[in-house]
Amino acid sequence: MILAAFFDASRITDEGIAIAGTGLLIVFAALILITLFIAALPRILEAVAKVLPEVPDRHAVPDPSESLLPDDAVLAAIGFVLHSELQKQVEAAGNTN
Amino acid sequence: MSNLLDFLGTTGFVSITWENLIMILVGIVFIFLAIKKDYEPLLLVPIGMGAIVGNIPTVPSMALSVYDDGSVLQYLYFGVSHGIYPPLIFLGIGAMTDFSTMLSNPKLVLLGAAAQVGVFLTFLGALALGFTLEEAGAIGIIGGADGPTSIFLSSRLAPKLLGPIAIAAYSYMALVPVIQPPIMKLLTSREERLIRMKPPRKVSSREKMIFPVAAFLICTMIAPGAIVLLGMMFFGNLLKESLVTERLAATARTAMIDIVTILLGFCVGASTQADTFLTKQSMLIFGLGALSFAVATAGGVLFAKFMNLFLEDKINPLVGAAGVSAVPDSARVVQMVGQQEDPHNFLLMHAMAPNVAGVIGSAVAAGVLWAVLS
Repeated sequence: MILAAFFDASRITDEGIAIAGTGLLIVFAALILITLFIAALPRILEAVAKVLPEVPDRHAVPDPSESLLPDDAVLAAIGFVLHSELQKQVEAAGNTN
Repeated sequence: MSNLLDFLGTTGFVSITWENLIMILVGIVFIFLAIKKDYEPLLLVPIGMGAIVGNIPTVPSMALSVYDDGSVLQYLYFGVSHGIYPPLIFLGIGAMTDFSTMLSNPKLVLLGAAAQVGVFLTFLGALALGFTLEEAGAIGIIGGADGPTSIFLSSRLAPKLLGPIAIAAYSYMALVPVIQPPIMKLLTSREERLIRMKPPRKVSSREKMIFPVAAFLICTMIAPGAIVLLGMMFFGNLLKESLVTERLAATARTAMIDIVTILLGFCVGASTQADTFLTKQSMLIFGLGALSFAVATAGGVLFAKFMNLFLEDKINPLVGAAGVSAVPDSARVVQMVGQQEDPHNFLLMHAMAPNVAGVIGSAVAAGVLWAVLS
């Protein structure tokens, strides 16, 4: 409502329209170029890897999701301990009753 | 006795105006929204407290307010008025940002560009409301939904409007969960909101390291005005992704960005003195700000629908709404609206791609407007 009261489309100059159109075009151009670059990047790296193979990085941080994944033996041990503790508690509860 | 009377004449009770009281109330509302509703508390609490501080009437002979030469607040405000704080915040944002989702699905970058239609339509709207070209440029960038970018550009193009523009940008960023969902639902069908997108591929660390340098070169060769903001953001990201400067990245994304956010938020709040802030121009800027967020959201959603006309793997059009930056709130809104239709549809990681692309897009838009209008 407030905006409508003061709005006068005739104030929009040709220069203003040109700036808006050009500006939007430039933003699109920049982001389209980024899109094309990102899309091409895996192929570029694949080609580079043939000349310069990727060596394990001494600074690389191990993937926590991988390192924290317990293997079957650890899972079995955890299960055994939980089962034993539960049994003890059940027996202790039986004795007090 | 006369000393006592003189002193009483300097107290706030004597010189406070109803305009000051309104602004103090606005500050209290900001703090309430931050604490009670959890709307951008890291920003609204400093801004709200700053607004209260800035609207206590000062003694003319004492340098106290941000506009008084030699006052402590003016020295702190220097970082706002000279555009120093925004690039430092961008450094922290870069050190926080993970571009993986964007790198794994590059077509989503275009949604970040489409949402910038909000910037340029608001620019035209501001011209129609009688603002000058420079002022219109500074107001238009509110549509980028990026507080630091808005402050940076208005400090360059229209320093007199910095207060209202900053407050409008941050207020509407806080209100993203209120503004966006109705527009998103209005422009999409239920079937579209149910679209599930392919999970993103794993991105190699080489890609992540190369991207900040390459993206910086691409953007700033096209729009050199964006050098400061994008330079700092991509520098921060390189600190993170290079894996050899983790200490610097950690500082940039924690202590440093927090300190700058405190200073920036408080100073912006303190600059909202009633006599300079409560004007017709400010009201028009607030109106345009709301409109710009709505237009930007619609731009992103409609462009996603347009892209779907040509794509085999359809994009959920809700994701387009995240192109308005406002990281990460608009991405969270996408997730929330998507889960209202399908609780097992996880759109958050997909929405982060246009979200960070929107940050780049709005910085490029700011660079273009600065270059053309200065």
